[in-house]
Amino acid sequence: MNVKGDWQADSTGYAAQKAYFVGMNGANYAGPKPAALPLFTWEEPSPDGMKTTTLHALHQDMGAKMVEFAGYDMPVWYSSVMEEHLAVRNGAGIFDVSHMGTFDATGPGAAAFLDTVTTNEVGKLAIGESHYTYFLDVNGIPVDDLMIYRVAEERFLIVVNASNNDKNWAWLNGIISGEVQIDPANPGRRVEGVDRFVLRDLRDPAVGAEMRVDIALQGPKSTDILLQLHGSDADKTKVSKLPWAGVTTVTLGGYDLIVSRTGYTGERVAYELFIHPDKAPALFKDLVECGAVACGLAARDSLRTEAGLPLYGHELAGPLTLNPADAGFGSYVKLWKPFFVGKAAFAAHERERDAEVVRFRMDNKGARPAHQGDPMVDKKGRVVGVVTSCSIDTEGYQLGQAYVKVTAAEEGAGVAVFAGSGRTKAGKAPGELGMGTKCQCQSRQPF
Amino acid sequence: MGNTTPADLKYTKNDEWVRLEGGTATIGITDYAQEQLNDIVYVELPDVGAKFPKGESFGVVESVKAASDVYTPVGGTISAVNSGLEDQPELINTDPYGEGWLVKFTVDNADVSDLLDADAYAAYCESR
Repeated sequence: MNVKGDWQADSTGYAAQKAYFVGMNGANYAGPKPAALPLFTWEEPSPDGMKTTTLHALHQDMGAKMVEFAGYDMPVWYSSVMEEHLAVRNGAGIFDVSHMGTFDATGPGAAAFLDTVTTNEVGKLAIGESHYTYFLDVNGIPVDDLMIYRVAEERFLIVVNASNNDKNWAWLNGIISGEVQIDPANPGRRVEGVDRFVLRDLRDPAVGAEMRVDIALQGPKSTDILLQLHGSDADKTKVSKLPWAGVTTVTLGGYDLIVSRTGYTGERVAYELFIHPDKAPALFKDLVECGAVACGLAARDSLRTEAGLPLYGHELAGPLTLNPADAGFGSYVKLWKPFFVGKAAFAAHERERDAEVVRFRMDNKGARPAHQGDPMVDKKGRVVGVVTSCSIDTEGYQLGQAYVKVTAAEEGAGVAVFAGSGRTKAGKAPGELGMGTKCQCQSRQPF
Repeated sequence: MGNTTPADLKYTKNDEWVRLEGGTATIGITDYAQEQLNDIVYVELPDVGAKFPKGESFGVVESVKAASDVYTPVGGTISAVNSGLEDQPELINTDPYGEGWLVKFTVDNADVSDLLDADAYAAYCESR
């Protein structure tokens, strides 16, 4: 390397042959380059029968209405969606989320790897802390949104969406084995230090006693209910003192648990309990006996919608290919990190973005429910957005989220949803209207 | 199933019920249907005076789960709609055969012999 190179010799303003770019080549580098890696592709395998969680028989015994979700036969409700929703807001609800993916990354290189493949700052997590984050693809679109928990100095628990579990596993292992492209500017680039950590699927029976699945206990009475399980004073104190987003390891009710104070309902008193799948049904049953109300997927969706939390396929990725900033969660993408997969594409999109996900509530009860894809119009009848989610809130009103032009996304602004558009018979289907199109709709809902 | 099927009503395989009194038919959806739909959040009903042939969709019941068309088991003219459902669509859940009725028809033809009686409908639900 010519360290005496004249940085003014070319017009770049820097000496391209100097080692400013740690781990990267300068602009004038002319040496050998690794061959470009192929882009990651993923096709959902055709389902080979419905999968079940270890709680399946319990749900059926409890009279749950079961539906297919992410390839699993899951409870959608037990009694009434609204009763379950209110139980979480006023008491405590328990959810079987053991269909969600649980991985762990262990070893001295685990933090660096996760910092490369996720948007948030893993290195900033202290032991016992967790954060919300994203895997982005090279186009800056989420592969998934997820939680990372630092359970030990060199061990991270990773919890992903059930619907993306297999894709995430293929994506991460493709990166580890150097088989997929992670940096379009340097398409032969591979992550370094892959021999310094091990990624495991904690739902794979091969991990034995360390298998873990997620059970969520959510709502203001969750702490009281959880502490009804017998345990040492030290363990009970760990739970009662657990700060928001904290994670700890305890034995309660005879169960070995990783307990975190996190959730997907908007409740601040909320826990996720990571337990061996064989023990999960007994824990679920015990907590129901202690007063937790069993809740299905429908209440989970209405609670997260009410709380303004994004759902993959709706506010993230999905038909609108929304990224975390589109969804209103751009603060979980740390652009000051030197590199993470998808950074350049995310930053480019951010410079052009003119819309964001906002929340809306209909001002009359009994309004026709809005659905994903329904156009949203302003007072002049211009299409200013598209509904991404809608559900019923605690007070019985339709409440949802929509991707709306920033010029129209003013708090308190009146907008109308052209609801039921999927059922319209004549004219251009409202779902095909683009933003800015004038919509000749006769909305039955007043502004 | 623990659903009720009152003996004085007639039923369809689309889970509507009919109460025929003289030339007026009151129509709603069954206890089985409301339980399958779960919490009902929206009901769209026709205007009084609208005419529907037998078997036609006259309204929409939407729950947290799905939107379902409701078909009339009799032909006729709408003589009344249950306006109480506008603010309280959940009446269909709490009282499907009473407060949760949908519409009343002045029927063209009072013959409902082709519809299911309570026992036949209960057996039909059981078989699903």
